[in-house]
Amino acid sequence: MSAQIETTTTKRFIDYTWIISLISLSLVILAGFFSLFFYREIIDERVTVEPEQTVELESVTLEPRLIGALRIDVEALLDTSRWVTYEIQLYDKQDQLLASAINESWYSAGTWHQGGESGSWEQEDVLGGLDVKLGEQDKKDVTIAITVFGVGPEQGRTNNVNAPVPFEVEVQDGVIDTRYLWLGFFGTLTMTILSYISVQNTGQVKIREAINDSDVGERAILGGADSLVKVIVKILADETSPARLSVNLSIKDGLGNQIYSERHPIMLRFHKDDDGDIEKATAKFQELFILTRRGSYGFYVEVTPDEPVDRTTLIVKENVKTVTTVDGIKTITVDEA
Amino acid sequence: MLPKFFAIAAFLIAFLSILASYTQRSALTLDENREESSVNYWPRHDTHVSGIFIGGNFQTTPARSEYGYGGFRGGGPAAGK
Repeated sequence: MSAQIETTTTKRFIDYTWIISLISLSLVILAGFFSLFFYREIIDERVTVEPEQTVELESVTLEPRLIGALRIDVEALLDTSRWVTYEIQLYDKQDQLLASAINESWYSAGTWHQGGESGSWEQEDVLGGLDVKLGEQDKKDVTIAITVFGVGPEQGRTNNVNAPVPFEVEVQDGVIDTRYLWLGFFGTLTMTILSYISVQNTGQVKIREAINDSDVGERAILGGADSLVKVIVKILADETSPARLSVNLSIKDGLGNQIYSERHPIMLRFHKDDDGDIEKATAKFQELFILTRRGSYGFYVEVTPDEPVDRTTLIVKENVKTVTTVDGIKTITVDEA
Repeated sequence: MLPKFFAIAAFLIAFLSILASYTQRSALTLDENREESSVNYWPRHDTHVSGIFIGGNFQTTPARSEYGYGGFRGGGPAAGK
């Protein structure tokens, strides 16, 4: 009896479902990109409104549309330490109020002194915005107006500051609500990461064996031409460990004959505690196999030097899937005598 | 199993978020004969609708012009000192 070992590169074991997540993520990003081309600017105007007065802007025609809405963005150009309460209003041709939305804007600034140092600070919330669309009816001419209800100083104790407030009003049509796209972006990104990780964790665990020593081994029935086998070795070592250890992985067939044996150097990751002392060192090693004939195989791991090794874990999984094309798969064919 | 679940979830999230953003689901819908027409409204920059639709007409909240008086006192680190 003999065994042939070949090193293969294949895409046979890719799980394409995670690509669907990736495509979904790309679609959301594309949708965000295309949202830049749908809107059309209608008004960009600066108006000054006296307290308790209303100023009308030009009228715009609202049309029922499938994509986007009419967006009214308002920026209050406030002086330092002022707040304003105002309303964005929409009137029809008969001067009847169609809709209104209220906003409070404020702008604070000042200086600070502390321990001989000083500087200035500035805080503001000067933006307001309303998105409107039509229901299932014909187009409509609407007039946009801004009414200021109150202007006050920052502390707000004396409310009536009789000062006009300039506003920068920007109206665009066909605007897409990108807030949903941000939700979609982070949602699909999370799902893409999760599906990527979950593909790497596919497979049925056939062997999970841990021992507080440097060598571990176990036997299981697994393999077959269509089953990708993943061997994972996890090592826990103490602070006396050298930077690299050597892992010897060997496989024996059903008769106990060794069909594969290879020595792999692996780097350790040293974990430090809060004081900067090395607490432990860990390492992980994995290798993929195709054992063309399903049967009983024994997997044996030996870590050298063995003195610093506290614990060795051997995990063998079959029917493993991969995220991309993988190389370095050892295909082992056992001939019968 | 899990990769499939995450892939379906990703696809649904993408589909629904693109649909909601392109149809402007949360914009204020003008004169719809339903009182709940502003149910989906999602304020931008803290700008709140100051009324409700009753029978297709917009009715403002009675005390809206009092909004700034007493209730709101500006903001920033100096406020409330």
